[in-house]
This record gives sequence, structure tokens and C-alpha cells, in this order.
Amino acid sequence: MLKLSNISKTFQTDKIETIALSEINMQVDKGEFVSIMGPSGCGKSTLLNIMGLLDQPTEGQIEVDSNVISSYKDKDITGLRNKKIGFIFQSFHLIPDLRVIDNVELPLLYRKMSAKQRRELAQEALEKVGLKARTQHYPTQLSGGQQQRVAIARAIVGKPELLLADEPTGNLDSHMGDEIMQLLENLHQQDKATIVMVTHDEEMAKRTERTIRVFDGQLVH
Amino acid sequence: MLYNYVLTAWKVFLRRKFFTFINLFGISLTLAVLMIATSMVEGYLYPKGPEKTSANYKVIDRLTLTNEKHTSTYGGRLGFKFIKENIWRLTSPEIISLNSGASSVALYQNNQKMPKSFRRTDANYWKILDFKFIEGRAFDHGEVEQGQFVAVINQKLATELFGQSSAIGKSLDFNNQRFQIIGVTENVSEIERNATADIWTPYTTMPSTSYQQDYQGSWEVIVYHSDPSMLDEIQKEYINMLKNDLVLDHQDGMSVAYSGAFNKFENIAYQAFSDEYSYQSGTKTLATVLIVLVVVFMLLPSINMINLNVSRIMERSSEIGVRKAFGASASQLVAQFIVESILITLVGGLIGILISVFLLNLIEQSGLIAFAEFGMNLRVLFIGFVLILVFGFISGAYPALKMSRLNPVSALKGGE
Repeated sequence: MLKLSNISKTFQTDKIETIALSEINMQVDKGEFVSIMGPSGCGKSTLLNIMGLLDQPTEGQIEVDSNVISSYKDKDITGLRNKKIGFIFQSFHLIPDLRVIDNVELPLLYRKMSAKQRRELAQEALEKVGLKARTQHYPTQLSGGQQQRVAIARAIVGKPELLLADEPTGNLDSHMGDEIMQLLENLHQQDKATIVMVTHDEEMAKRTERTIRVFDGQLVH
Repeated sequence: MLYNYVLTAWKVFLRRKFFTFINLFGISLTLAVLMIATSMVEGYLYPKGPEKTSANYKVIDRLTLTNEKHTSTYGGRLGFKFIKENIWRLTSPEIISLNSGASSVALYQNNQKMPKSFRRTDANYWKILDFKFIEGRAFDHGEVEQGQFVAVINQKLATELFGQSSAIGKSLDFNNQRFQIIGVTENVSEIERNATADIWTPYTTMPSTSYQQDYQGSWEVIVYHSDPSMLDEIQKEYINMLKNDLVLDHQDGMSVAYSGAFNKFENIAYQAFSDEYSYQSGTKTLATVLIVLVVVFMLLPSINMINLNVSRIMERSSEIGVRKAFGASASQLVAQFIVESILITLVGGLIGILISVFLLNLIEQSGLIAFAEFGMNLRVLFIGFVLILVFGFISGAYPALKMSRLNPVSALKGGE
């Protein structure tokens, strides 16, 4: 499903070169639920961004569905991101100007699809996260847990093969965090979703099938 | 897709009312001012009254007489003798007409003083300018030759003097002369400088003939040709005559004359930029200045709006990051923000057009410029529409480009 070979990432600021990741080799198989753990600043978010093609590695090679990513040009990767990957962020990143339903439809706007079809898929996704009744609300009218569920609906609406979640429960209290976690587990079990989740919560990590630990930009075995 | 851009834009506008208001305010005011200016220039350049034949004529109403060393100079309008000895020799115009220019005169009715404007003309004047007669007719060559005391008046004066009854055959006293009214025309806007007046009479009714001996005076000449492309030929012939074949037997030793036959646009240019010792009107300078003015006038609010847009878009950097993460390409994002920008300019533009229609109406009603009619015709609307689109595009394109280049990771972090 996803294969990283010899991935390194360095950040160049004025004088200092920071090594965020070095020589990462890993693989995520179809249908897996993987967590990435590590102290803050260890490079786990950078790793997730590279998996999601949001960031370009300094060295190394990524394969998504056996396609080697050779170009990070806008037009070459936007389509891939759109169809194959769904993102869930720690701070939700919903668009405050848009209603819940329009937020969820967003990924579908960049596909060839009728408005009616978009609406149907968005409603389906919202139903899956248990927010069918909130489609006409604006994000600020919802609780944090509800907002994250909208974000999850947005991530799954386009039926991507890979869900990437960057500390999805990080901004939520433990009760709401648990709800979100249950939702991800359901998606994994019922819909066979492949999920990679960054977390620094040991409890959450335990609930996944496999945990990858990152320390100082390197994988720890 | 476009529908969604529009929808998003609409929601953004509604959610950010203050920003939308500021933007609309700036755009509509700028466009209203530009539209009013355009409409006024339009009214001058493309008259709707008697001067609507202006594509077929040029006006000679400026003359500089001087000596070789420019130590003694007369600058002003034309004298009758200058016209007679020089302009009447021109062969390229099909019709040459002269008139005295408009001067003011006092009429008395029931011991009430009525200031009116008054113009003495020849018979050709009525052939070149397209006056609409409500009743009666203009005076002809015979009446001018014989110096008959006949007059044409405008509708407003006719109503003031005679109410609903016909003015034809009635008499009109002023300047110790008595004229018989033979025609009533529609009112003419003051913008039509060569046509406007309340009273027109044959120039041969001047109380004294001394004007015939003057090279300087208050006269103006209209030269006409049915083929507009011939007008430049007339100007060439005229300048050539002034340079090589001038008849000027001036008592003060003036031997050089500068003048020119100008159309409406050249006339503004001449007034604004040409010096008195020139045959040229300076249209290029005027066109440049006008374009620069319009550009500067549009640029200021554009820059302002670019500024607003940039900060607003930076506020929305998380949205940009999300859209990118979910597969929006840079060009789709640019399109989205340009659509937003054009949309708001469009709304602002429509408000601007409404404001300008309202203000133009107000100016017409106020009588600031007598009998003026500033219509919003298709040409003015078209110019306004183009202005709006250009404006929207300029103010949307730069911020859109800037933000579409953001890397999604940093956009999600808040856009450094």
C-alpha cells in the first residue's frame, strides 16, 4: 500500500541544518491500522506529511500503491492526494465559512462529479460518523469532538485507500478522544480502511495493530 | 466547479460582512466616479443634440496673431476679416459656417430681466448642425444676405414668453432691435458649446458693420465634410494656408497666425496642453494624461484591495492548506480566489453604476449644466463593465498567485 525507502528530510534555515528524518524504511500494508509514536519534535509529523505527499523528502523514495512518486509538481501529486489519501488533523482544520455538509464535500469538488452525487456521498459519510443531523450547522456551532468527526467524514468521503491522522485526539478530552478512537476502529474493522495515526498517547497506540516508534528522526525497533 | 466557487465566495462574503462592506464601498465609489467622468466625457465627445454630426466637422475658434519675434501677440477667437480673407478661401470643406459664439443678452418681460444667451450665425450653420425644430424653420441665405431681423429661439424661451401658444410670427425685442420669430428649436445642452443658445439671429443684423474690419473678434467657424476622413485634409490645407498663403494686413504689424481646425477631443487637448504658437492640438499628450489618470485612479483602490485580499487570504491559509491536502491544484485555487474577487467587484460595480446613475440624474436636475443629458448608454456601460472586470482581476490575481504557491504544510500551520 505504502512503502518508504531510505527517506531523509533535512530542514534548511539560514545557517542551521536540522535533520528531521534520516534513513527511514517502512511499509504500511493494505488494511493495517498503524500508530506512530514518539516524543514531540522527533519527526513523526514530518514523517506523516511525507507519507501524505504534503512534504517532499530530501532523499529517498516513496511508493503509493506500487507507483513510485518521482515528481512533486503540483499537477502530478494533487490528483494522487485527492484520490488515495484522506487527512485528519489535530486541530480539525474545518473551513469556518462553510457549513458541515460543504466542508465534507470539499475533496469531491476536485473530482469530476455531479453536485447531487457529491451531496449523497457527503451525507453518507456524515451518517457514518453519526452527524447526519448536523449537516446545516457551521463548524463553530459544534463541540470539538463533533468537529473532529466532521473532519473524519471529510477524510473518508472520497473513499481514499489511506487515512492519515495527525494526533486526532490531541485537542480533545479523554471521553471525546475515546469516541474518535472508536470511530477510527470501526472504519478499520468494518470498512477495512488503512489508517496511519500519529499519537503520543500510549493508550491510543495500544489499540492499533502495530506501533512504529520514532526517536530523533529514526525508527526505533 | 464555477458554481461552487461562487457559492463559497457568497458564503465568505456573508460571513465577513465588514470586510465585504469595506471592499464594496471602495469599489463602488471608485467606479461611480469613473462612470460619471466617462459619462461626462462621453456627453462632450458624442453629443446627442444638434452637434451629433460632430464626426463630420471641425471647429476653428482659436487664433494667435503675432509678429516674427513674438513681441506682440493677440490670442483669442477669430475676427470676421480673418475669416473672410483666409478661411473662406479653403477649398476642401464642403460647407463653411461662421457664428458669433454665444454671448449673454438681457430680455425684459413684465419688467423682469431675463438673462439669455444669444448667437449670431449664417445660414450654413443650420445645415451643419442638426437642430430639431418644434415649429417654424431656420433662416436661409436670402434672409442672411438681406440682413432680415428674424430669430430662432429655443423651446424654453418660447414657453416663458408665450406659454402654450405658437411663437411663430411674434416679435422679440432686445439690444434695441426687434426680431420676428420664425422658428423654435429644442433646448440644447450647454455641453454642446458650438450649438447652445437661447436665441439665434442672422449675423448680418449686427448694429454696426465695424466688425468686418477686425482680424480679432469673437467669431468661430465650423468646417464640414460629408466624409469624416476628409477632415484631416481640411486641417492640412488650413495650416498650409496659414504658413504659406496668409492674408493679414494688420495695423500692428502682426504677420504670423497660428490656428487649427479641431474636433472635440483635439479641442480639449488644445485647451489643456497646446501653446499658443502651435498648429497642433496636443492630443497625444491628452490621451496619455487621461490614461495615466485612469490607471492611477484604478490602481489606488486596487492596491488597497490587494492588500486587504492578501491579509484576508493569509487568514484563510488553513483553508488553503486543507484544500491543497485534499487535492486542489494551484490553478484551481487561483481560479477560486479570482472568481471571489471578480464577484465582489461585480457586485460593487453594479452598486457603483446605480450610484452614478443617481448622481448623474442629480446633476441633470440641478441645472448646473443647462439642458444637459448624461445617459448611461451602452458604450458607457460597456466601458464601466470592462473597468470592473479589470479591477477585479488585478485585485484578485496577485494575492491568489501568492497564496497558491504556499506549501501545504506551512499553510496548515498558518502560512509562514
